[in-house]
Amino acid sequence: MGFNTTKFIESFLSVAKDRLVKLEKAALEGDSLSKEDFEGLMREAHTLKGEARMVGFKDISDMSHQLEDFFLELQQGTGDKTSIIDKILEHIQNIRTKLEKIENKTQGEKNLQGENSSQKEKAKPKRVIKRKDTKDKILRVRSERFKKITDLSIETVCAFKQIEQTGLLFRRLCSKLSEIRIEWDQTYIQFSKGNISTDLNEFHKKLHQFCDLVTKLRSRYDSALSLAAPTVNNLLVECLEARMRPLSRIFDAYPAEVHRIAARLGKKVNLHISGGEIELDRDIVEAINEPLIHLVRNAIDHGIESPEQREIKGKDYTGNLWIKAKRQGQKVIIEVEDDGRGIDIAKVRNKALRKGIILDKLIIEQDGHLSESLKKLLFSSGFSTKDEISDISGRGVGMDTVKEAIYKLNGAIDIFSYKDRGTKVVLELPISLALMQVLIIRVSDHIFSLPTHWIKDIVFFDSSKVLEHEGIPKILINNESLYLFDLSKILNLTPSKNKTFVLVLGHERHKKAFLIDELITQTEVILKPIPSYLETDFVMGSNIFENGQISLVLNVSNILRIDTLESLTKTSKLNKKNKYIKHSKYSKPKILIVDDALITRSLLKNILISAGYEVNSATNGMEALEQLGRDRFDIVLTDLEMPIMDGYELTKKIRSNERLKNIPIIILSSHETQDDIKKGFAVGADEYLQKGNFTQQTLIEVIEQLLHHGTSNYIV
Amino acid sequence: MGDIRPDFEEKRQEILKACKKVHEKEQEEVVETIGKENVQLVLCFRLNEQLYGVEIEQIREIAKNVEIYPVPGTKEFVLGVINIRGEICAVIDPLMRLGKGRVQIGNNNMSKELIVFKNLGDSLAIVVDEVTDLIETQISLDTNTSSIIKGKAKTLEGNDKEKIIGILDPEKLFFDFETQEDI
Repeated sequence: MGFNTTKFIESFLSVAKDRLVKLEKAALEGDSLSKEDFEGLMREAHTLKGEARMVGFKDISDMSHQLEDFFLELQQGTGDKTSIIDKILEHIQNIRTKLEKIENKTQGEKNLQGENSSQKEKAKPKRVIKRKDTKDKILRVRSERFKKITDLSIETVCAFKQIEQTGLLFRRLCSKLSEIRIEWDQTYIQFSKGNISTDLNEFHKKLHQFCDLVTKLRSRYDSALSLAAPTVNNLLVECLEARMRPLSRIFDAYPAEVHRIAARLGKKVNLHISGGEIELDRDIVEAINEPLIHLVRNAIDHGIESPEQREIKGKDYTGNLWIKAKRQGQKVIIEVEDDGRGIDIAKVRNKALRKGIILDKLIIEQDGHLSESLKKLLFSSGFSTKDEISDISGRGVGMDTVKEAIYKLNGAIDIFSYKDRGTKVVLELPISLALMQVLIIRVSDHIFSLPTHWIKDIVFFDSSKVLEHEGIPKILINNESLYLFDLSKILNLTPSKNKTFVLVLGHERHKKAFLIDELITQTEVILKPIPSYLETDFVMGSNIFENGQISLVLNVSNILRIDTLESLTKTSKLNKKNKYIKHSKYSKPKILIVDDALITRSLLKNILISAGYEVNSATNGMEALEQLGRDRFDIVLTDLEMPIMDGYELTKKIRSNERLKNIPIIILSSHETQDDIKKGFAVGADEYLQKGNFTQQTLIEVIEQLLHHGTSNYIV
Repeated sequence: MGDIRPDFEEKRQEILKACKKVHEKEQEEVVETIGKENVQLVLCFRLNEQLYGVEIEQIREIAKNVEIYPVPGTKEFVLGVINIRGEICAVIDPLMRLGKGRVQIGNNNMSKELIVFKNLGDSLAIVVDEVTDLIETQISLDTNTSSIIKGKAKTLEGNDKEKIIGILDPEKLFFDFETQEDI
């Protein structure tokens, strides 16, 4: 099989054992089973067969197949029941022995890796116990639901913080009340020198009672708050931590990927990975996987030379590729570096000329820094120095998409090149997107938030410090002359009149000044995503104030890319035009995997995500239809045998739905008879792949064909 | 007296006849609606004196007097976002998508009425001038499937006057940027 399955073996083993227990129990109850029970059991055996196939244990798969047959025999009532049950039990036992053997083997390998092999025997029993322990402690929750839970918890924390804020108001009210009480008491004493009417006396009493009640309420409120505050804070910390995932989740797949790419390009590459243990918000980890694979491909294809060329240059025959992650405060830095030829300036210039772009100042400085115009060219869409379009890189969408993805995450990207010594791409990413320190500002009539880590300086606007430089306004701040922009113009709002402050945003080598109307406050907010439908470059999310007002959080990395107001209007128009097309044709294809077996699902998901697709999964036909109703998908990849609604039914349902009928459907099943295949095509499937003998390669080929041509001619 | 009676009798017959007719017609209509499969509940709304409709099953809710926050950097027909009980929802101008100008929005960006859709992935809404009615009607689909108005339906308005309303296809309205209506 074309991919690495070791990661899945462990989970296969534990799931398979559970399945065997279920089958065994059912077989012992043989007589009292209903038709539904039998169907369930056969599905169980069938799934086991499929899973075994997927992870490469053909013998277990075959045995499960026989098991399936036995259950069928049992249901039909042909032959001697007790002897069939005996056979089933014997079979289950055999499979179990096989599984144990595999388990011991993988355990042994693990031990060999971890400890001295001579201690293997001693360490084994301990390990088994330990494993059991952890297994019990892991609970499977659907990621969607988990995300919802953490989102809701974070929102609850947010709501609590707002209640705390109103608590301040309440306290102020209480102290005001006690002032009033004292004032009243003094007046009352003066009155009491004369004759007090009973009415006044009544009122005096009432007021005192009221004040006492409020004081009581206040102390209750205070103690409730102080009791809840630490709990709520813990909840926030736990939620943020629970969302964290180590980078190794994506890094682990890279050695295989690098091996594959290098082999195809005839290059020799040593991959060095470090920092896999660093944790980031899982959304970020997932979002940077594809950009990183792009960079890796680029490095191997464009950067690292062929072994022969390297030899001529006097370099080591094998090239090196480093993927390094390190944490820096609230940021994570990821570097992808190779020791190849570096960026070929002459080639870039040639290519630019051929494309009709004339740019001087395409310079790489001694220290590896690239000039701004060179960077811009490299990151522009449609630019590639590869002459032919290869399937590895050189499609001219690479660096552009990488940059977009990183900016979307509120991150930054930089590139360094050293002639014949290599290229280095540096990504700077936030650790979490959920919680963020922001400065709340007013621009024209609108309230926005800015992530504080972009803010370098805030000064009062002094129009005498503004100077025009070739028609473009600049401002002198701390002896530095910076380009000055009116934020209301950039954001396309009605121009503001009273510009009071200048914000300096950016990082060391790249700073710009922006005019705003008002600074409101600095606070920590919980970032709520905005609908991706909006497709805006300027806004990365939003937060909602206690009064229900929405404040949009600006995406500073994109705002900083603006050069002059003139070029802005041009580029934004261009971008928009591009995006219309992008939405309909070039966005990442989305695939829906439908399979009741967790292992098949995660295996396929892994393959497809690393191939650059967006993937969702469902466990049966019903769930798949639900997802199809909610979302748009480009391809459905379905199993046949599933509970509730099987693959045939799902295919039929999709084909009869007006909106969905044109979605390509691939059946991936362990049913392999001609009849099954015929039936699959009859209900409307576009492709029929067999679990037993498909490879990563064929799967992706079939998907690509279906995506681009609507039909594929791949027949198993 | 003798003069009035036949006159009254005549009137009475006339009235009964009319009643019967109306009754028959109603029954006919009932039979008609039962007989045809394609009967849908359609929410009607007004956009610039023109009536449109959307099948009720595509609608999540109707909102009123919500502040719309403009979002910089979006397409022209995107009006901004709204807060629907803590959920951020994108709002577009349906008239612009139909190529018929712009919807009027009140002072301080407060919208009159909004229709929030479901099953579109994101939380999406349109601004309308007024939600008028909920009717049961039969939609005749257009043969031209690329149009945002996917079909037509009849509505009875007030004094028996039939009106034709255009039924919108939310999917096309929000996502299909290639088709720009030029009616």
